[in-house]
Amino acid sequence: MQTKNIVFYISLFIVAFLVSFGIYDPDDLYVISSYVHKNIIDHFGWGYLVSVFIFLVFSLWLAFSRYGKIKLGKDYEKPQYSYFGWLSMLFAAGMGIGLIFFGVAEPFSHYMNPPAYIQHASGEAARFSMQYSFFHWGLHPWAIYIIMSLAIAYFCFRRDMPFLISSCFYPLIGPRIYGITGYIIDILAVFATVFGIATSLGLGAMQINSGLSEAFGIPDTMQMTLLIIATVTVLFMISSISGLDRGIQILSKTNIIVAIILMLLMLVIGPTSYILNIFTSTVGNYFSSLLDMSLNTHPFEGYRWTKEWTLFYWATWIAWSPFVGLFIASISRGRTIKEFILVTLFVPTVLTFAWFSVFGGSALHLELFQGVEIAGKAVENVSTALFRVFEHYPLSMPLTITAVVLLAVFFITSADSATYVLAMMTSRGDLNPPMSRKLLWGILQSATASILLLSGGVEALKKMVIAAALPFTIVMLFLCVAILRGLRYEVKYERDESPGEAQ
Amino acid sequence: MFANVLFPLNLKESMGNIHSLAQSLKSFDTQRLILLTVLSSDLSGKQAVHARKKLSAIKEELEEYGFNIEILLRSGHIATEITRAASELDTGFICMTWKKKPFIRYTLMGSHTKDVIRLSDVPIFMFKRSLFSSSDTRLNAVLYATDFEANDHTILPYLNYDGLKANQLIILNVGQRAPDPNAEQTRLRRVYNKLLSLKDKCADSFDQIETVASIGNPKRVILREARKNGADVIVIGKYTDTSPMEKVMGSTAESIAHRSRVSVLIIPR
Repeated sequence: MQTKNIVFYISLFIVAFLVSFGIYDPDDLYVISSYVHKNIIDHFGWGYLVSVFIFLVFSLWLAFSRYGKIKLGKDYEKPQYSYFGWLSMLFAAGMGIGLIFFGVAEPFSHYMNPPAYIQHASGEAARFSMQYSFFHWGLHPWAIYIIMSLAIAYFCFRRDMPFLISSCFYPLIGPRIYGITGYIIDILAVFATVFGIATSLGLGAMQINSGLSEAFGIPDTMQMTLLIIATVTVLFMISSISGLDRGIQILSKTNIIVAIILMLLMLVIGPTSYILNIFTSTVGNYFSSLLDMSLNTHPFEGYRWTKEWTLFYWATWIAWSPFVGLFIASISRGRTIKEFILVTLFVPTVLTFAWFSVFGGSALHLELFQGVEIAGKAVENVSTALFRVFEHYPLSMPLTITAVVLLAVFFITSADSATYVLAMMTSRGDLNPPMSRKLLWGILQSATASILLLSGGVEALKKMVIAAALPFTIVMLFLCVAILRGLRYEVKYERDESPGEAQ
Repeated sequence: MFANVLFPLNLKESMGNIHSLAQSLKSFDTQRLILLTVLSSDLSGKQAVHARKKLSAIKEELEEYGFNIEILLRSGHIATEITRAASELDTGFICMTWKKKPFIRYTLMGSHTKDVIRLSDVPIFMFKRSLFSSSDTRLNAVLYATDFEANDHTILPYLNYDGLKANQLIILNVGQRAPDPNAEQTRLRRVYNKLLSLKDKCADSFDQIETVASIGNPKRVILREARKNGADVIVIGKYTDTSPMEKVMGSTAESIAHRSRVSVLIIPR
């Protein structure tokens, strides 16, 4: 068996090199990453749309096919976590920080800056903003995560392969997964994970800072942001040390309860019937326009908005998919394919829709019907958007503090699960990676986020992560082929009980 | 099984090609040869008169081989009439010559030969080049591509037929890799056992039998192995229940018949 420490050392080198580049010359890094990013989005953006649509269709087809009954594990295995624990961790890993951050910011952004063919700050812009918020955070991102996690769970738990993304390619390339091709796939995954998480941690820390500034007047400075990162790092290291079973599960369950309470509270004290109206009509708009949104790049009306938002999101979710996919796979052992796909696809999606309806809807109500002009200011400083909305409703302080706590805990759970996944990916797919490796990656992640925030390199890193999504999209399309080959083989040769069939 | 042969002609074949085919049929112990031409117009016009003249001339040329030759003229859809005639006249197989068409023409206009392969329930021998030189009476090698489905028991009699004598038989299986290394080892054991079983069943008819287990796209691997081993004839089965992709892109049998440089014997299930 080939040593997989190669993956660890090469990944470490690449991370160190890029972070050093970001510190030494952030301007050049930005220029290079912008150039690569622009060309990929300009020329291959349509490919992202088609690929993600394929993932969604493939997932749904698989769920209802004859392969749906196959378990992600041995036939005798039962799910390790309860439904509630499972869903909590799914949600925290998949959306978490981003949902808090963009719950208000995104609808407002689309409202103020819709595509050229829609008048900004109009009723139509408001309808568009909610529909596309649902679109960017709904079925499609979860379909991306499903493809990655399904492949990993099937090949690793049912076929006993090492817990690595490269393992999923055995039906296609055979023993070459243990060679250079396999190393490249795993290193690409580590790269996407480290920088995807670093970007997310940077944004999350900034928003926590904004929230604390709003609630307690704490200065919204770089030093404070770094202190927040350091504090949360200690906390997620403690969670990491306590192990996946205890640490992340407890935090995720707590968080989902707090998130639901916050959402219900806002539903009650906010414009309740308006929120319910938004939820109902936007769900209708979403499903009736799903095909159009999935494939329309608006080549006749103007491509710019699609590039800046939809393609950005699809590339981000794909860049996140190695980390989220590995994590979701590790907690989904024992589920059937049908159960896994349908629950992962629809339950977090409905929660997300509810979240956007409550917070996005409350924000739009202020803007459209209460004459409070906060959309412009919220878009200028997106990390303050949620807190600006709270200011105009009762119980503003408890809501703010709750949101800050939620952010912090989501920060911890995301960083904790990312640390676990990175340690696993660089330890030959060991499901119980050494503590030293978890600590190392945990510290590296936070250090990367801090250093890049200081040097102004976060934007550059964001663009590079999105550029890395292009090769990963191709990897994921091949994953679909590999999954299908594996399942077909199993059904044809290993489940057929007709006499004379050699097993 | 090769005694009665239906030979569709479009009357544009070269006599050289027809003679080469006739020599091959002679080695197959063919006795009755039915020359068929399908016309687009009715059977009373000038085209029919001309076709009958040409067929009579070809019949005279082929009489030296000692066949009992009949001439048949039909009108209608070419592939349908050919397959119908094969069925009505209880022929052992249909033999056809192959003329390579330009890619665009083949893609846009299709091919009657491809249609015949698709529609026929009778074996088809796609003749591409002379099987024997003047001094040889045996083929160099025959390649049989199997996927171990029910077709094997239908095809084995053809492989063991005296007329298809060859120095070497290559039994080839092209499969897909299993999802993990352990399953792949199990699959390979199963494949090798089945190949050995087939080898035993053909042992009396061939001096040398080689078994090959390969992975990849059957349409490419079969042709590659045929080239590598110097096969003169490829024997392949044909299925009626093809996958949606094969319905659109064409079956493996159709593809092999089109792309092979050597003759192909297609046996329907």
